[in-house]
Amino acid sequence: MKKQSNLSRLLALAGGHKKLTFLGCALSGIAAVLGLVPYVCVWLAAKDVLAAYPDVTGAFRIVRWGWMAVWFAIANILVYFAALMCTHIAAFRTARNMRHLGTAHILELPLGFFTGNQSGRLRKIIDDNAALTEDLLAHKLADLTAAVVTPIAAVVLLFTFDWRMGLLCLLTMILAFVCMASMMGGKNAGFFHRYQREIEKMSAEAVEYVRGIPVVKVFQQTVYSFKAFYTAIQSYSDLASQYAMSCRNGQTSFLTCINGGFALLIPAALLLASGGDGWEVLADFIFYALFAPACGAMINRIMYASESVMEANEAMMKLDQILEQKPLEESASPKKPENETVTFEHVTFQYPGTEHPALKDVSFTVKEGTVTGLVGPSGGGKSTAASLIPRFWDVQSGHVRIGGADVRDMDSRELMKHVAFVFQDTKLFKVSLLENIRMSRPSASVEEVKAAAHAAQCDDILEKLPAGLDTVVGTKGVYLSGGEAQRIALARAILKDAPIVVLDEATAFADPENEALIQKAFSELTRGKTVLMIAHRLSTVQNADKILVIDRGSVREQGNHEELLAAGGLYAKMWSDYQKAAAWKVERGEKI
Amino acid sequence: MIRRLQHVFALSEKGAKDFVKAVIWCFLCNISLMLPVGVVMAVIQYLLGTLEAEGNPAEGLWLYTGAAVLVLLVLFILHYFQYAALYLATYRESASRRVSLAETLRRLPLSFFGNRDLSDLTATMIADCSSLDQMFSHYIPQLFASIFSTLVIGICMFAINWRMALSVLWVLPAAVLLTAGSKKLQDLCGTKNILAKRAVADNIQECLETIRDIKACSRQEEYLKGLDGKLEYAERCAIRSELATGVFVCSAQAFLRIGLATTVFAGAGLLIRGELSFLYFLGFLFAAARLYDPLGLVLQNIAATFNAKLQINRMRAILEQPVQTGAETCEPENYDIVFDHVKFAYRENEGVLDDVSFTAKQGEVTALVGPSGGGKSTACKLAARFWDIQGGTITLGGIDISKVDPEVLLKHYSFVFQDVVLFRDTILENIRLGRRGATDEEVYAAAKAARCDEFIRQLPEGYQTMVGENGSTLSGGERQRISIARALLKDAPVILLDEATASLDVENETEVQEAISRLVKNKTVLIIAHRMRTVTGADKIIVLSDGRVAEQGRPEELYGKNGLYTHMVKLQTESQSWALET
Repeated sequence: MKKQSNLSRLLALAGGHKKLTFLGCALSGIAAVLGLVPYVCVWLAAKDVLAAYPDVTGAFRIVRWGWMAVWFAIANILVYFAALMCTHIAAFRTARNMRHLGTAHILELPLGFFTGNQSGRLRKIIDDNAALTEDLLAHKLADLTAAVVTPIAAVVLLFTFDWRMGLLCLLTMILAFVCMASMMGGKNAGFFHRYQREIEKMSAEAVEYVRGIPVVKVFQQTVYSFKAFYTAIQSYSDLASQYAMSCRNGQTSFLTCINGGFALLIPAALLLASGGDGWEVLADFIFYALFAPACGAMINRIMYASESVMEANEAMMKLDQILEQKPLEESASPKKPENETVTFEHVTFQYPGTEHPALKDVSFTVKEGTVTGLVGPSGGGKSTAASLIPRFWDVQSGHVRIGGADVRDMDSRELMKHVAFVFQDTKLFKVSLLENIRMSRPSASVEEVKAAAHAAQCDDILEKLPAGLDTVVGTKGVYLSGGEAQRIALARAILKDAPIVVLDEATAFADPENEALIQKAFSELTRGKTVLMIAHRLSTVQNADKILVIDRGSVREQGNHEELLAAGGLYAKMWSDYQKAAAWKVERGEKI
Repeated sequence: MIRRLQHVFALSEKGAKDFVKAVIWCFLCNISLMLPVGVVMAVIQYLLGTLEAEGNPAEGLWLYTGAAVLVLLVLFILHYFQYAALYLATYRESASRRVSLAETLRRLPLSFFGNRDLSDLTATMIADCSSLDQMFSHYIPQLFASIFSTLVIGICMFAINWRMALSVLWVLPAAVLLTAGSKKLQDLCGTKNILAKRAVADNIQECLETIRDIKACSRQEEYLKGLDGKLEYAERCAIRSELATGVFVCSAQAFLRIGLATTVFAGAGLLIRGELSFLYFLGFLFAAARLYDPLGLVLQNIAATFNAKLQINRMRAILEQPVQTGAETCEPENYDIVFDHVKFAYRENEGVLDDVSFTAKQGEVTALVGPSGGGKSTACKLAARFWDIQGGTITLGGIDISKVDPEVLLKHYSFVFQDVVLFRDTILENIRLGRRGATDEEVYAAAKAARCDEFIRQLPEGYQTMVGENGSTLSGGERQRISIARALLKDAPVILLDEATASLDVENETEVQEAISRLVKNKTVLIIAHRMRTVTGADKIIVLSDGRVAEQGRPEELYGKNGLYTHMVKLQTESQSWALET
C-alpha cells in the first residue's frame, strides 16, 4: 500500500516528464514483443524445414525468415534505445526535482532544526537519495514492463503453438517465481531494511573509530576503540552471510528452474509426438526449447526490479524525514513593529525531545536604543533566549515582541530587516568577499561595501589578498582564519544597518591581534542601535544599560553593573570569580 | 599468480584464492549451460529418426527424461557450489578487508588524520568496501568466467562449422568494441557529469552550512535560483552522458540478440545449399540462445567494473601508506624536550617551521605564543612525533624521537587539546581511556581533581551516563574537563596543552585552571595559549612568528624587551577590559 503511494509520488515528482516515463515503459513493452519475433521466425523456419524433410534444400523460404529475424532484432534494439532515453530523461528530472524540493523545504524550516542535524547527513538525504531513485526510474521500470509483457505475449503465443508445452514453459516461470518469493518472504522479509540499518551502524562506528584514532593512540588504547568497530563489521558481515546462507537453496533452485525449462518439455514432446502429428509437435518443441531460456532472463529482471523498488522506497522514506518537518508558519496578516523595543513576555520554551524547559516564564525588555547584556553560566539559557528573536525556534507560551508585534506575526523578511545577528562561528559563502558582504543588502554599491569593510576593520584582510574584495573565498588556498571570517561577517552586519543588533561574543577569541580588531568592529556595529549582547566575559557588558543574569532558564537578576554588584547575588559572585580567573596563571604546582 | 591478484584487486591471500575458486565455479556453471543443448539435440535427433521411420516416439521417454533429470541435477549441484564460492566467500573477504583497513588506519601517523575530512574519508571507505563486495560477489568472477567459457565454447563451435560459428560469435567482438569504444566518450562525458553533480552537492552542503546567514539576509529565493541553475546544468550533463554511454552499453547488450537472428539467417542459407545438417543448425541456435545471457550480464556491469579500478586504487592508497616505525623501547634519563634546528613543512615549499631551536625543561612550564599561523600547534604536535621533521632533531631526554615507535613514545605524553574527542560510551569509560587498568576509585579521583565530579553526578545516571555522538550532550567546558581528567589519570611525565581552556567560560575556566595546575607538578609542560595572562607565570616563553623563534626567555625578561611578546600582552590587556560602549 505504502509502496504504491511512494512510487506514484515519485512519478509525480517528474512533473511534466511523467509522460516520458509511461512512454518509455510502453516502448520497452513493444521492444519486448519485437524481441519475440526472431523466435517465431525460427519456428516458421523449422516448420518449413520439417515439411521438406529430409530433403531440406527445397525449403528456400526459410531464408526469408532469417531476414525477418534480423530486421526484427534490429527494430527491437532501436525501440529499446528510445525507451531508455525516455525513462532516463524522466528519471533525471525526478532526481532534480527531489533535490530542489528537499533544499527548498529545508530553507523554510526553523533554524533550530539544523543544530541537531549535521549538515553532512542532511546533504546525503537530499542529494544521495535522489540518486538512489535514478536506477529504478531509468532502468528498472522499463525492464519490469518488458518482464511483464513477455509472459503475456507468451500466453498469447500459447494458442498459436502447442498450448500444452506452452503451459509447461509458463509452469517453470511460475516455479522460478516461487523460488524467488521464498527468498524474499518469511524471515527474510525485513532483510533489506535490516541490512541498511546494519550498514548505517557500521558507518557510524567507522566515523567514530577514525575520529577517535588520534586520541586513542595518545592513550595507547587502539584495541579498545577498535573493538566496537570490529563488532560492527562482524555483525554486518554475519547478517550478510546469514542472509546469503538462507538464500542458498532458493537461489540455486531459482537458477536451476530458469535454465531447466527443457527438462519438462522433453517428456511432453515425446508423449505428444507419439499421440498426434509428430512433425508439428517437433516444430513446437524446437520453438519452446529455444524460448525457455529467454523466459528465465525475464524473471531475473523482475528480481532486480524489486530490489530497486525497495531502494527507491527507502530513499523516499528518508526524504520524508525532512519533508515531514513542519516549516515555520508565516502569518496571513503580517504586523509591523512600531518601534525597536524587544520584549519577552512570560516566555517558556523547551527543546524538542528534552524533559525540562530551557526557558521558564522569562520576561524582560530591551528598550530601543539601549544596550542589554545577557550573562550567566553556560547552559543557563542565554543563547536560547537570543535565538528566539530570529525565530530559530518558536516559543511554547508567551510572546517575543519587537515594537509590540509578536515575531510570529511578522513577515519573516520584515523581521530579518529589523534585526542583524552576529554568530560566534560564521561560515562564508564560496563567492567573492564583495558578494559575501553585500549579501545582507544586495542593492549596496561597491563604495558602501568598502565602507562597511573598513568599519569592520577588514582593511588588512583586503590588503593581503591578491584580488582584494573580488577574492573568492574557499578556492585556491584562500582561507580566512576564524577571526578574519568573523570580521567579514561583521562587515555584512554593518552594511545591513538594521536597528536591532543581536551579538554573540565568541568564547574563544582568536589571537590578540584579531581580538582587538573584532572589538573595534563591535563598537562600530552597535553605535546607535538597540543591542542585545550575549557576553561570555563580564567586562564586555559592564557598561551596558542593563545586564540580565540568566541561570537555569530564568532571569535571576537584572540591573546595571553597579546595582548588581551592590545586590551581592549571583552576578557579584560571578564578577569576583571572573576577576580571579583573569589573574590566573599556569604555575608550577608547588607554588599553589 | 595469487600474489598478483592480491595486488591488483587489493585482496588478502585467502581472498585471492577464493577469487580463483569463484572464477572456476562460474566457468563450470557457464559450460554446464550447454548440457541442456546436448540433451535437446539428442531428443530432436531421436524424434527425427523415429518420425521418419514412423516408430513410436514414446519409447524413448524414460531414457531422455532420465537424461534431462540428470542434467538438472548437475545444474543444481554446480550452481549450489558456485553460490557458496561467490557469496559466502565474498562476505568473509569483505569483513577481512574492512578489518585490515581499520588495522592499517590505526597504525598511520597521527598527521594523517589532521588534514583530511574524516567523515568523508570513512564514508568513502565503507561505500568502497560495499561496492567492492558486490563487484567480487557478482561482476568480476562472472567477467573472467565468461571470457574463459566463451572461448572454450567458441573453439568448439569453430571446430564443428566455422561459418556457423562466425554467424553466432561475430556479435561478441562487435558488442565488446561498442562498449570499449564508448569508454572514451564515457570518460569525457562522465567527468563533466561528475563535476556537475559535485557542484550540486557542494551547493546543497553550502546551503546547509550557511542557512542561518541565508535567512538572516533573506536570500532564500536567490539562493534557490542559483541551485536551480546548477541542477539544470547537471541534468543536461546527465542526459548527454547517458546518451553517450548508458545507451551504448545497453545497445551492446541488445546487439547480442542480433546474433540469434544472424544465426537463423546464415543457418537457413547453409541449410538450403545442403552444407549444414538441420540438427547442427538447431544446435547452433540453442547454443546461441544460452551463450549470450551470461555475456549480457557482464556487459551490463562493465561500467561498474571499470569504476572498481578507481575504488581499488583508493583503497590501495590507504593500505600502502607509509607507517612510522622505530625502537620498541624508550627509557629516557629525564624528560627534557629539545628542538634543535627543526625544519618542517606539511607540503613542499610551504614551510611551517624554519630552524626552530628551544628546550622545554622537566619541572618547568614552557609556553608557546605568537600570532595564529605562526606554527605553535605544529611545534607542539611535533614534540610527540605526529609528523616526521625534514631537518634538525627533536629529542626527549636525549633520545631522538624519530627513532622511537610512536606508540611507545606516546606512553610518556599526556595531551589536552582544544577539540576533545569523546566516544559513545559511559562517562566512566571515557575517562578511563586515560589509563585502561585504572580502578573506578582512581577514575573518580581524577574526575574530582579535574572538577568534573560535580556535574557528572548531576547527570541522570551519573558516571554511567552514555555520552552522545562526540559528547554532543555535554557543553564545551564539560568536555574539556573530561579530557583533563583523562590526562590526570594517565599521569605521564610530559604534558602538552594546546589551548586547553580556550572554550571555557569564566566559572569553568577558574576550576579547570586549578586542575591543570595540579597536573603540571614536576612535569615537562608545553603549553599553547592565546590568552597571554595564562602564560605570564610560565618559566619560559617561546614566541613563534612565521615559523621562527622570534624571542625566547623568562616572561619578565621578554616583557622588558618591548618586542612582539610585549605588544601581544599589551594588546590583550586592553581587550580584556574592553567594554561595549553605550
